Amino acid sequence: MSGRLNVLIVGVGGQGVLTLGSLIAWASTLSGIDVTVAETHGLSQRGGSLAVHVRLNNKDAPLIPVGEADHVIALEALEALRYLSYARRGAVLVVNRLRLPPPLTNPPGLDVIEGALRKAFDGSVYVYDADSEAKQVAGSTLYSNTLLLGVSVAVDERLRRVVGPAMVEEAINTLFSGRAAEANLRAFNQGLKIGFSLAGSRGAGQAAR
Amino acid sequence: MGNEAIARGALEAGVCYFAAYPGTPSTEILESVAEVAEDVGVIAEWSVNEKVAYESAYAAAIAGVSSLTAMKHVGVNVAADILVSSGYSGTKAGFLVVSADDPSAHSSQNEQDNRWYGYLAHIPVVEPSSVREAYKLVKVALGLSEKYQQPVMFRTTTRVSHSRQYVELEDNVTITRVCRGVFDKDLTRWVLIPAHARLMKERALKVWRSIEGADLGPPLVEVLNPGKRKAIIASGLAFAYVSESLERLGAWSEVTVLKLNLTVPLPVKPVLNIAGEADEILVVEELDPVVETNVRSVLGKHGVRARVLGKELIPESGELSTDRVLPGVAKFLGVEYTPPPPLKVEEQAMVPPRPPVMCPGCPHRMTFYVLKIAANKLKLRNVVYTGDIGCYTLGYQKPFETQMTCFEMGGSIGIAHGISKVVEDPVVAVIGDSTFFHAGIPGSVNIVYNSGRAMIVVLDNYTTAMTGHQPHPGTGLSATGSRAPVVEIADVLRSVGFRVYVINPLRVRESVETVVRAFQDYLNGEKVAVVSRMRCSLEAYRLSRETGIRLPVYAIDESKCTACMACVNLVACPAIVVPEGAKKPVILEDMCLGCGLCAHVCPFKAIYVKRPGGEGWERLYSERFVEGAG
Repeated sequence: MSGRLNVLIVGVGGQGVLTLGSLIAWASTLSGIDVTVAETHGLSQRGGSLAVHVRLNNKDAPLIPVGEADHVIALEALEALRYLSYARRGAVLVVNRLRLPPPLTNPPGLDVIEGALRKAFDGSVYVYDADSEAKQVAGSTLYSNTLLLGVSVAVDERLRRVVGPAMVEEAINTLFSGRAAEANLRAFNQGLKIGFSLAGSRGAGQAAR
Repeated sequence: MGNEAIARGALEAGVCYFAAYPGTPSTEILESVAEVAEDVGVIAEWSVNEKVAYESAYAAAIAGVSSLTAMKHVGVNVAADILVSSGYSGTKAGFLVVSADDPSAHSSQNEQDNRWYGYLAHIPVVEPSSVREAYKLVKVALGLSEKYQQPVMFRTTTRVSHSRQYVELEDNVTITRVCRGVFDKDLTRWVLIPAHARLMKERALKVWRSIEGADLGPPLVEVLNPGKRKAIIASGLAFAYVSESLERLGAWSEVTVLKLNLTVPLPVKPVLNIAGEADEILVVEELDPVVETNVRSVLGKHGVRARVLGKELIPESGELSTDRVLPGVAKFLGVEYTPPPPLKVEEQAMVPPRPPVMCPGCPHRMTFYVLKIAANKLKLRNVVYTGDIGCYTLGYQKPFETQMTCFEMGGSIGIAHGISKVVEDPVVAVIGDSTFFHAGIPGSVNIVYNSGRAMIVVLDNYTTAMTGHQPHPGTGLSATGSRAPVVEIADVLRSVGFRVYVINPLRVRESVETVVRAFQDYLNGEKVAVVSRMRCSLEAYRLSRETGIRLPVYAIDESKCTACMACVNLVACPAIVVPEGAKKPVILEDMCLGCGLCAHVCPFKAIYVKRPGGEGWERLYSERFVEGAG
């Protein structure tokens, strides 16, 4: 068994935050890794702020302590900022370049958010427009969640060791069937490709977008 | 998921009758059973409310058929009458009431600690500390119930019910079960007239004393690392946080831990045993000091002088987490602990709160809009809208503000009645369909009987939407998905004595006219009710995918739009946004579900149908049964 890993998934209800939690849980279970996933339901489909705690190799306590998330996947940028304090220093953040302002509010813009995240995490922030990409490769923004998971698995080696790409693919085939499975696989693999290229260019010392 | 683990454990243990009312975080227990009920041969029912669910399942158990009822914490309040009586009469077969509590009130009106009910009703309470344990403990709890012929409360919390873990299955589920019992006419037991009640109280007390004093071991009670001068008593899920805290502090070897999974009644022997060796005891439990109070009481009674700490060091409100337990444990053990300062950036302060909102296409938004416009047309100011429990509670927010109270299920009608008796303003009780069946009918009868002056508006979206789309008596579907008789809300209200107006808010103009007439009748002193029928948009969207009939998609014509923001401010739809840096709003096509309210609202006719709906798309929203959908 490799080490503990805390993954926090945040976003807006309806974006597939819970589905992503289940996918990681399946993938890690298939690898024989012990996992606890804590979800919040009820109003989760109603556009509220949402966080799913995924704890790998960590016994039973379901909630990630503040400052102890090793990896954060944010399906929406404002939510990345909202849950920032859960991440530890040096955590890897994968953020959808998407800003959904709550109705009748005027929150900070994407550049401000990105700047703030970079200030806190320096080189380990990856921001990518997963919605446009998902629409292009899989036909709908619905698949931005699996696309971002691909990016996450590619850019974070620690995550990849417990949630390998082959296991994610198997998990997708377990949780989905038919067209949905195909679209999710396409999105995930595209995410992997993007992630590896982002990580590669990062390694060469270039600023990544 | 914890709830699936509970369902599986109960099925393996031979439970044959399941009845529940949906409520977060309990819903998936019955949902998972219903999925397999017909194959396995067990009974699975969505009852009209928790009281009826409890009665149904309990009745099976007194007739010798093992049963389970599940509800959220506040649902137990609805079932409290029968719960307490069942504690007197006891059961014959194993019977569990699952109380899914919601510390931090993630999706509830309060965070009450239902373990107190155990003491109130003489019903033991078993609490798992993880999903895995929930699976095993359900069987143990059923065994306890059978052995003592007493109902048992299985108390979970959001973080057990809605967490996921890998569970290794121990048994198969036997299929072709026959749920047949015998009702034994033991009238002393089942007829709680005062004379019998007194006898049954003695029976309950005897059971209580024997459970309290029993020699219990794992998995209900477990002593870890015995013989230390300091001890921690951890109940249910709190154990997981204590365990992580001790590990973090490197302090496992310094402390004895009593892991309690049977928390009510407090097992006396293990508590006395650890108190005999420890000078100081810390009780760690979520919410109220239920275990703590009883530890003090037991030690006092037996003259044991250990010092007991609890809520001095552990928060009493809100759910626990390692963050919230660790400082208290460190202090108790006298270990230095400074949490690392959390990452902070000033921009965080600029992130606005994101409360849940009504979905695109939500019929409630349309009904609220119709109500407000109709009231405006009649120059009705200061209408009091009492509210209830459901997605529509979100109507308390701007721009609608058509939910001004929200206390409990069915409350809108009783509250409206009382307000209408003492306040001059028009009073409208707004209630959902499932909620109307749950507890709205008695309140409706009461308005007629006591000459109330409240108008009732029932929002019929053909489902129990809030908890994830369960059927109810008005939907024509049973828990297992088979056809069931339809109980018409309009018929119920008519028979009670209301003049009933039915609207389909998808047709905005027509609905406004009808509601104006309803308000006029109401102002003339008639008993009036409005039933607003339109399917939940998430369900309409699901049907659209199943039938291949596309819903329309709207767009804003930039050349006609004057940036007046009427659509943004009056509709408050998540699909209408003003992009960063832009002046005019746009409609996110992927989110639009084609209700058309924004087009109706736009004063400049700038919102148009960009992609028309497929043939008969309106049926997806309007009709109770849609052909071709599975």
